[in-house]
Amino acid sequence: MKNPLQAVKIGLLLLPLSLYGQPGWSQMMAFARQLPTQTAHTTAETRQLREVLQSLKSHYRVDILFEGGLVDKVLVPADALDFSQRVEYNLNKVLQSTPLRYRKVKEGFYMIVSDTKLRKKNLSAVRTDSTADGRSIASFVLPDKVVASNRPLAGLAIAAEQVVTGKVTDERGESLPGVNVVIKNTTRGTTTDATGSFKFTVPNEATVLVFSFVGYKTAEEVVGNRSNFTVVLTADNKSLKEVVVVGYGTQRAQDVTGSVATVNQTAIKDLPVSSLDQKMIGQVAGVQIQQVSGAPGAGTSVRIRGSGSLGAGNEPLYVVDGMPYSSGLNQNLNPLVFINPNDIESITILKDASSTAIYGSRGANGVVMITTKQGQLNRTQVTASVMRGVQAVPQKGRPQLMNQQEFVDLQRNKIDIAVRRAENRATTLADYPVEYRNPDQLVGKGTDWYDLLLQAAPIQDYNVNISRGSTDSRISASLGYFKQDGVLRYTGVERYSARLSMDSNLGKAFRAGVSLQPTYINQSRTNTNTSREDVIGVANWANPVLSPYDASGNLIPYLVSPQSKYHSAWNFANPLFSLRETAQVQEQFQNLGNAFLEWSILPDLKFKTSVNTIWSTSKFSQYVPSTVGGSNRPPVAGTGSSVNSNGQNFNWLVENTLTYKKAVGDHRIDALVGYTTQKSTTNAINLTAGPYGNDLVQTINAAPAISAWGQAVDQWSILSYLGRINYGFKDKYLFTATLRSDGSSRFGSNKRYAYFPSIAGAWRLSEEEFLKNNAYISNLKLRVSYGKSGNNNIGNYSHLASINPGSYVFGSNQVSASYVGLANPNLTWEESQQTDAGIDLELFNGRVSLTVDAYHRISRNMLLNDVIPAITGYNTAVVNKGNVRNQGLEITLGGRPITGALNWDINTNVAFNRNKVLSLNDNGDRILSGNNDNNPTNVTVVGQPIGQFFGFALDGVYSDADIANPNLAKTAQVYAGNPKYRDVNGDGVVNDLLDYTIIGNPYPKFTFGMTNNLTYKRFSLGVIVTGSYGGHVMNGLRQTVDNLQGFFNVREEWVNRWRSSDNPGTGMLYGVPKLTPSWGHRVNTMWVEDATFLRIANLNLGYSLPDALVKKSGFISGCRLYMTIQNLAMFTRYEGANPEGQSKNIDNTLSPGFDISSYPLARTTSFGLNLQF
Amino acid sequence: MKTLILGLSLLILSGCTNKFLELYPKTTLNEGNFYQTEVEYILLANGTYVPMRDYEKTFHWVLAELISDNASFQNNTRTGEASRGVIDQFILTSDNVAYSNFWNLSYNGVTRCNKLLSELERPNVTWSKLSYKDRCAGEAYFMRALYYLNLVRQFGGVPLVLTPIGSQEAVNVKRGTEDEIYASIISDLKQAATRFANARDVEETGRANEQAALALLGKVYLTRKSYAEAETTLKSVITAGKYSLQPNYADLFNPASKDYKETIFAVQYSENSVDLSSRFLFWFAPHTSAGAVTKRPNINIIGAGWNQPTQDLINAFEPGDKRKDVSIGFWTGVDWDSQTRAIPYCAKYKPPVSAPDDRCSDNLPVLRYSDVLLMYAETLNELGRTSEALPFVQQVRTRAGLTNPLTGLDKTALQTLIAKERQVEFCFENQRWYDLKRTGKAVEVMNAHGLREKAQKTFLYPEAYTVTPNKLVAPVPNIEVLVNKIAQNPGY
Repeated sequence: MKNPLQAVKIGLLLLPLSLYGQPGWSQMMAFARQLPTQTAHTTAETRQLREVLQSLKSHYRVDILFEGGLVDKVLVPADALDFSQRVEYNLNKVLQSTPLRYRKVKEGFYMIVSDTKLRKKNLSAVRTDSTADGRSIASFVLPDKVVASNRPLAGLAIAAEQVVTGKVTDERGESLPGVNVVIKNTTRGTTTDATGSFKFTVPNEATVLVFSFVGYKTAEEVVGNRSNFTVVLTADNKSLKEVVVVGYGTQRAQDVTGSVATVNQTAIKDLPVSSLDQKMIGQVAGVQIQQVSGAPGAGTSVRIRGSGSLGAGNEPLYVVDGMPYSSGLNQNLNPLVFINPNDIESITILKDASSTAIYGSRGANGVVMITTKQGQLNRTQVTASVMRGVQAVPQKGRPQLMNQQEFVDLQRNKIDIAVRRAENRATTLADYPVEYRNPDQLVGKGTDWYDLLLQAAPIQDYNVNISRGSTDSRISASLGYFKQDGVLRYTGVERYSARLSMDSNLGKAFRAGVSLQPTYINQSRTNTNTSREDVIGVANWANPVLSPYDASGNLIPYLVSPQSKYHSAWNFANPLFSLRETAQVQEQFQNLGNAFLEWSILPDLKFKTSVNTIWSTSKFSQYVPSTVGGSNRPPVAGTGSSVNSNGQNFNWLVENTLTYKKAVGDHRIDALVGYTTQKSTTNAINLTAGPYGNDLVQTINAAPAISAWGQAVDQWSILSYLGRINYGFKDKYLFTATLRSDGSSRFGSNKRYAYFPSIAGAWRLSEEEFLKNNAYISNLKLRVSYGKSGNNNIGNYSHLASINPGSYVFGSNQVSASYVGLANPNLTWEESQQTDAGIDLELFNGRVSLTVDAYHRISRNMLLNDVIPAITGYNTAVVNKGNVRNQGLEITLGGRPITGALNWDINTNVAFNRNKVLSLNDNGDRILSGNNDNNPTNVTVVGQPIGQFFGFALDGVYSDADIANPNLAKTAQVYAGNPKYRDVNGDGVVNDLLDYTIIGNPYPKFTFGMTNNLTYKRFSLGVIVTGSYGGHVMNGLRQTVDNLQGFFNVREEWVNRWRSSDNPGTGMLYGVPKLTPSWGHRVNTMWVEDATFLRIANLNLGYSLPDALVKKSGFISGCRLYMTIQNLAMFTRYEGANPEGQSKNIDNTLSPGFDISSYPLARTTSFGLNLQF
Repeated sequence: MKTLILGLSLLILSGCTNKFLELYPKTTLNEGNFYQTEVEYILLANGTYVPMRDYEKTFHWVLAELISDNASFQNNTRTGEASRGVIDQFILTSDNVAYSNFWNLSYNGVTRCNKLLSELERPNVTWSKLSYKDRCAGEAYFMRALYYLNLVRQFGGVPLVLTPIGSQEAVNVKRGTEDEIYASIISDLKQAATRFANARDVEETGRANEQAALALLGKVYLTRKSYAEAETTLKSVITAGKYSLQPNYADLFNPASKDYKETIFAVQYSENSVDLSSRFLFWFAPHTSAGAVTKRPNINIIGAGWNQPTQDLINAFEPGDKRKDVSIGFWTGVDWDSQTRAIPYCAKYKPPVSAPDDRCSDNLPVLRYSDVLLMYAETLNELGRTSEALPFVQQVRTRAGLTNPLTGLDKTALQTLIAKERQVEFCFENQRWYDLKRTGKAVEVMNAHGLREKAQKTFLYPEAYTVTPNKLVAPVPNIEVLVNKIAQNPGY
């Protein structure tokens, strides 16, 4: 596809059209509140029940379903309501004097019924109590024989043309009582009874029935000639997620004043990946998740609202069940791999400062809140899932290199020049190595070294979860096993995970709980994205004429390239052999532990104390046998070496919080104060040993000597006070203020403490009289927030001038030798001030939802590793200077263009972020970063985004006329056919570094994601599309595969290189250099490629087995089968394996987008089975 | 329960919050509680030698020996010309890492000296002997002078930094003139000599001392053509009688029994660890010789072959000169072009004594007594006291087995003889390039050498060995021009 974005743009345009185009969109769900109100007299002493129920609905934000006929003309005492009490209390009170009772169908949803039997039998249950956590317990069992009123609604003309009966169930086949069944375009209808059945008289066959129920998607059925229906309503997760997890608590979605996004779990639950960050890709506007490596268990780069920091990292803070878990990119082993995604209940992303400021010095890059599954009230559920799949590397993105003949031609060119130079004569065939004398016999591509390393790799995931809850205690336990072999052979990751959580009421006022989450990982890895010398690097340039196997089919460890007197080429270790023999194994065990005690001091006042711990122990071992060589480094017997490291980390957090929730009249207040302390200690020992005499025993005991060793002890601690007040007036005007004070060991005593305040306000316009009954707008909220948060990722002891150790020898006397590092006593917090304005809009009863957020973030006191003049004695120093601005716009548009039997949910998001450096160090010097062949690759300058690509501007190749022109600036030792770089500084000489200029921008213009879910009866189809538009990536491997010095195979394009003045090729590709070192492979504009891509990230096709079939088994209650294809297709112009690739060796913040030899992303085809018992 | 929780909370709240947040690195020292006794200062003094050890190991021989007519490299079409090879061929560019690394390590050394000197006068430091303080000061002055001497001899006037500075101040420091740098060096060396004189009771083998400071000062005076000062300074080293010639030249280069009789100052290496060790032979052995020369067949030396003795150097040895076989070895084997021949290599540096890998303990001599004798002779000759100078030259030649008496030499002839004597006596000791520059012979000698090299090695580029006076000063690394905003030397 030439322009991958075209499709998206069209899709976005089509979306609203399809919404409007959908007939009957205005039918909406016939919620009870839409039913016509009949007038009746009210006196001062009494009020209409209908009116009272409406006020309860709006006050408690609950849905109360009732039949018009049932409540009409019922009067209740006017003073029955007490809004300081729970809704149940009020319902009981108002219904006391009536023949009506309520039924709590589920949280936040009540149904008014009239049945005296029910009343007698369940009166005590109806008066529900609340648990200590505020969740209501509805231990309400509907008696079998009881049938809610099925009589036609009052005022309905009974034509008796046709009687229909039916039953409504949820996806799992459970009956749904209280479902509204309404004739389309009328208000005529009924509700289903306790068994989910209904009976109803309809006018004719053409009648369309609309089935609606809170928390479920609305369905429509044409009556036709049927007299009996079975209707399955599918859960609507949009409505279910009414409570969102925020820092230190939960909030009703409608009360949220900040920019908080919840990740839709249904859309992503079956993705065949190892960690939750990979699942989140494309789901949330403003959250850019880059898959920098395809290696099993590798980390992703996550940016929330751009890069706010130069030197202290841009990764968000992850908070797992209240425990600030990790931040920072680890390309080798993703810390999130230790959280089994199947154990996750919800993921919330806090984006603006009013929601992140509560995390103070760690909130500046945004916060990802992860909540794991807990046992549920009065419910026993056992689920099991199986997923198996296969991964393969797509053709797109594989290296396109010269074939054998083209490669030989290049080598011969090189020899021609060497012979001319040495002996001033033309080449004869004898000058070429034997292998290159008969190119006609070398047909085809030759050895595809890249393909040699790859395999079709299995992936599998098995999970069992048991959850059980009673009124008093709840338990959830799960076990998981995940195994992903790498598409790069001999790599892979394996995870064994378990989770156990339980909580229990201890008497009336106390609740306690514990959870344990042990996980063990075993990862086999190899170095990728490091240099041209890693296995993928070598596979990109290895000589195609050579075979990896010897005559008897064994791998040749070390390949000697054909050479001659005038020609040498790089010999290299067979990458497949190296991969097989060089084992790198990381084993890590981690347990997340949590215990809490909650005390309801008063009904509105709760104290909670909790302890969270993370204990982890890791072991890394690597053995490089003596049979593995390197480039021009043949293997030598007796040189095996090993690296072993062992580490432990213990991280504990103690939190004490006091919360107060109270509603008085129109006022609602929710306050929190807390005190937390956290400390982390890491202790690691590493040993490098060798040279081993032989490779038979590879453990340390067989080593003749430990050649290097070390121990690292790292500690940090943080001590915080926090507070928050949420205040709501009439549920229309909402205010939030937070304050956190952090003290951190990472800063000097003078700068140790800092305060992070925030304020936010929201106005729910849709609650105002003029919009309240608007037919189109069901929700409209304006939000604005401002706050300050920090970034403390500067390493543990940066403020102290270290005394660096060393040693020296005088005669035979070895002594310690020290020097003093640079101190920075003024090192302080990086501070981020963010303003956010947002709008939440829901139209047509939630059929269309739109969230738009604009933000402006200024990060001050940037901690940056600045390049400083070497006369200071150092080349870099961490300083607290520089300001960066990020501003942007995030748009999330969701909708349900089609509902009914065929249901289509779509969610699209797009985010624009602009990053600009406002100031740097005092003298405004640019920051150079990155390293490619000792040249920087990125530059950070005031007025531009962070880390622009930096190199020569290539103007083609020098012609003979250029060489003869004395006025043309040239590189040193120049010939026709050499690359012509621009003399940027105009000093008449083309000079490394001094003539480098900005040649690209690593940041996209916008990123986007689109999730589609289509369901038709029992089938479901999900498609996730993600991408980014604009921005560049630097293909670092071009230093090698654009390098004509004759050592490497190069990109196929080089067939069209400059060959002579008469045959200049494309005009941009230089000729075989006459001189070494050559200027041909300097960082230049050619390496900078368009990073725009569009990826069909996932396609998922599912089918739920019919209940009848499933229930025959006797113990299975639900069964879903699915197939997914992850990374189905990638559309990009980028030539490398991954446009989001990022070198492991260089800083991701100051040198973003530098791809060198990335581990390819696999296309995964998987099949899965989810069972419920 | 209520009281328990309240009590617990109060306990936590009132806890020693400051102590909780005061965490110091456990595996390293830090400046907060460092300067207590002489132990800490001795650590810092030891540290001043470290950057020099590192650059002598890897870069200085490229910039002071390989660049000269003494040394070239065994052609290697694979790794041959990158950074080092171009310097041998006198193709000098400001992006060459050899220069930036040398610059960085030099100033890292200077900074260590500056820091030590700036912290030395702290009150409340316990010195068990004040002579330790003098020794530390002497070492800092001496090492700073030596770092600057090498810097000024390479780059000309460089930024003169004598106190610890931060990055802001650094930008304002521009290049000093050569005269300013030399004045500072002379002042430092005088200081060093004075302080070392007070520290004779704590002298240690391998450390710089009074004689080293004076010998180096003599060298600086000679370089500055301050012959009168050179004469008295060098004479004081001779009359002090602390050092004398090692009777057998070969004994100077025996890592198993290091010389401290003649060697006044050397950069010290040990086989104990990778950091402490040198690996000269592993750079210098023919890259085709596998383990034959290095005696360590398990160490790959495919990137070796550097500092190969040139025919010019080989020819400079007179017949019967014992130094030739000590300095130059021949390994007969297959050369880079698949031809078998006797390939010369620098043999002054030896294989490891006992280390299983490429960790060598050969020291790198900086000042030897024979250097003092030859410098003194040169000084006398320049002062017109040619005959007075002859015995000192004779002394060095006799030790080398060249016993024929020196007679009938006029001043010019002795100049030539001393130059040649220095060439062979100190080959591969990083003196040749500085001697050529000091005596003003560099352009002449190097161009003549270039012609011979080109005749012999047809594959050399036409641009090679274009030696012009302005190129005798090395290019300032680009990054410093950019970050430090200092001027580049002309012609780069």
